Amino acid sequence: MNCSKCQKKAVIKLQHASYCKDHFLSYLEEKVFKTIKKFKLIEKDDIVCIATSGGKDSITALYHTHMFCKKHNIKHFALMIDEGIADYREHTYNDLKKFCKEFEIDLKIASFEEEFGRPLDKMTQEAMEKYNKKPCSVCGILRRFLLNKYSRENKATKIVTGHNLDDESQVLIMNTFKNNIKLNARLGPLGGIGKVKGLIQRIKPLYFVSEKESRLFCILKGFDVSFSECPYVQHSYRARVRDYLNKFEEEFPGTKNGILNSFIEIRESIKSTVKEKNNLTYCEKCGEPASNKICKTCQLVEELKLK
Amino acid sequence: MEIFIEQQQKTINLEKTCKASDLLEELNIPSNTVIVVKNNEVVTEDEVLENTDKIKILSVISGG
Repeated sequence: MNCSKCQKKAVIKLQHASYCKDHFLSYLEEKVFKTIKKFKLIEKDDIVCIATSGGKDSITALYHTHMFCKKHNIKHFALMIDEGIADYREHTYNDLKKFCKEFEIDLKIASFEEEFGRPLDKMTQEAMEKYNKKPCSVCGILRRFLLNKYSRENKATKIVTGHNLDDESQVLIMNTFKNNIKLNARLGPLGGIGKVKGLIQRIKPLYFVSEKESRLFCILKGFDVSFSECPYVQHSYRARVRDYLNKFEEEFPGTKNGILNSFIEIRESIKSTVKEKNNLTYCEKCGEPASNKICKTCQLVEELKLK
Repeated sequence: MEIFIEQQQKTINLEKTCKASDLLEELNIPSNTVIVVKNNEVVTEDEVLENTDKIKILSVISGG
């Protein structure tokens, strides 16, 4: 099969076209930059924190955001959270360090162990046995807390995450299946339900980029990225939804894009409904934005007797 | 042909000539979850795979 734009051999067949290496790389950059501009994800005066793990999605997000910021002279830096997952995070960390050195990107690091006194590996058993909390939920709460705290302390105005087309379509389906539709108000390329003091706005430049596209990008660019799966992923409800969605996409191509585009059409009305009921406050213990008197992080810190 | 399946970390050998899409179907792997590499070159699902080819089926699912 040849590229739809030239006669070279194609490396990927998409729903609308097939591309060779060079045309795929231009197509992807154009798609990411278009998302940034269309949804006004990054503006001139922003200081952008790129949350990154060193995996394929965050490397793809880091590369494209770095290129966009460099082109428009916008301040930016990378931030990695080391959760403390043995035989997983150290591989992605080494890849990330090499990457940031090559592209001269300032890399900052925060760790669970330093901040909470224990790595994730030493929290999960107690969290599951005593409190029936899955590793992904513990990790997610603590990671979000650190991302917000460290990016704010470094004066960032936006946090880039590597969430992609697959992640977003999965979470929309999960929220629907679990009747948590109001959680969808926080989704979309520009996260959150509006500006909240102390809460740095999250943005997703890879909103329309599939996992396949981001891995292909890393392969074709020769980026040394480890492709290991998080050892805790099998516990998650998300993995089940992911597998079903992938089978559905195979049979009906364009399904995931359809889910996102349908959501974008109704996103504002969901947001305005939730805004009225929004009772965001600040945690009495740590002062971070929270939806209850005590934030989820402080609740976890107390339950698991963390630092 | 020698086929390395990354997600399962295993190598299998099959005596056949077929399209990459047929191989994925036989292995029950959705094509949107993998990238097929033939003799160190990324190929599309339409590519014909010969008996002497070395194939890698790379998973696009990572993270968590």
